[in-house]
Amino acid sequence: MASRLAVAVAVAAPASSPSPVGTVAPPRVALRRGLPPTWHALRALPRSRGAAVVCQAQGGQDTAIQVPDVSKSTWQSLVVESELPVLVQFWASWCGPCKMIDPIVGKLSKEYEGKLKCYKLNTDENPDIATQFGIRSIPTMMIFKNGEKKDAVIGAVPESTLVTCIDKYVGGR
Amino acid sequence: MTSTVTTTVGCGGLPVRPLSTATRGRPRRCAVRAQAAGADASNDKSVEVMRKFSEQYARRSNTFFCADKTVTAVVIKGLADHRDTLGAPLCPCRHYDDKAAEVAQGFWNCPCVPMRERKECHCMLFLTPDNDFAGKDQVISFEEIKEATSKF
Repeated sequence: MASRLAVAVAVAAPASSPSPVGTVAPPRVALRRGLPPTWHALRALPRSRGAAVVCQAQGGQDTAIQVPDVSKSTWQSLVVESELPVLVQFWASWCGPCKMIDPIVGKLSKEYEGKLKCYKLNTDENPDIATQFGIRSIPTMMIFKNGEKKDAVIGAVPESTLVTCIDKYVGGR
Repeated sequence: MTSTVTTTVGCGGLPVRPLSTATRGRPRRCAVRAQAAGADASNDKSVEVMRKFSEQYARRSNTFFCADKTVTAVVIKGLADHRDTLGAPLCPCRHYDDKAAEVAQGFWNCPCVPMRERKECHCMLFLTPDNDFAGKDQVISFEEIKEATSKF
């Protein structure tokens, strides 16, 4: 039953958006997989959340990485004409899971430096681009190569899920 | 101007500047500050409404807030903003071609249909106990929300 519902949801999604979305990781399935390292720490020490945050801050470099913005005006030059594969994180100001995935994308942008470009696009400020690519659920991470959309990952998935998707188009870190 | 200040005073237990301060400076400055205070107070009210709703709904649906309460705080803030601007708590974790039309349809007004029917909340506001990201809380304070959302 659950799997049927999942399939139904997946089938329904293309119908609701004019442009078809590439391979989609169902949020429910993805969310059951292992937690990214950062959040394991948070779960392991629920009462020491402050300490966990402090440790994060001290670790600093990873969480400090800012993913640059892409907008409608820079889409052509940064994404379409990019010589490297591009990952675009579609986000919105008050989307909770977006705050969770942002440092992960930042970390990966550093790890894949020279092989992958990473950007984030605010859907409220660039609705045309979001609509063009059939964005519905936020966050959505899309992979572009040679200016073409190749893949999409929906929801705040674990780092490993993103890595698996990226490696299909980049060939490893 | 007096009525504006009075309105601000009327907004629950929020701190309000004394009248002596309000009467100082040019009327425009006072008006602008009063308006800003009014907008803030209004949003605070919506945050409080959505906070209470979230706690109540989590209990009723036997779901739990995210282990990272920042996620919870941000979503509640998003719902409050939509309540302010659209009249209903439209899900803040989706892109819409026409927000007003979506509000009218109601499918994505929180609690959205997938949540009501299948306990699926892609915002990670309401998580079933088996979810890897689920914490143990069904409570979050107003102060927690203000602190978490002030940095974004």
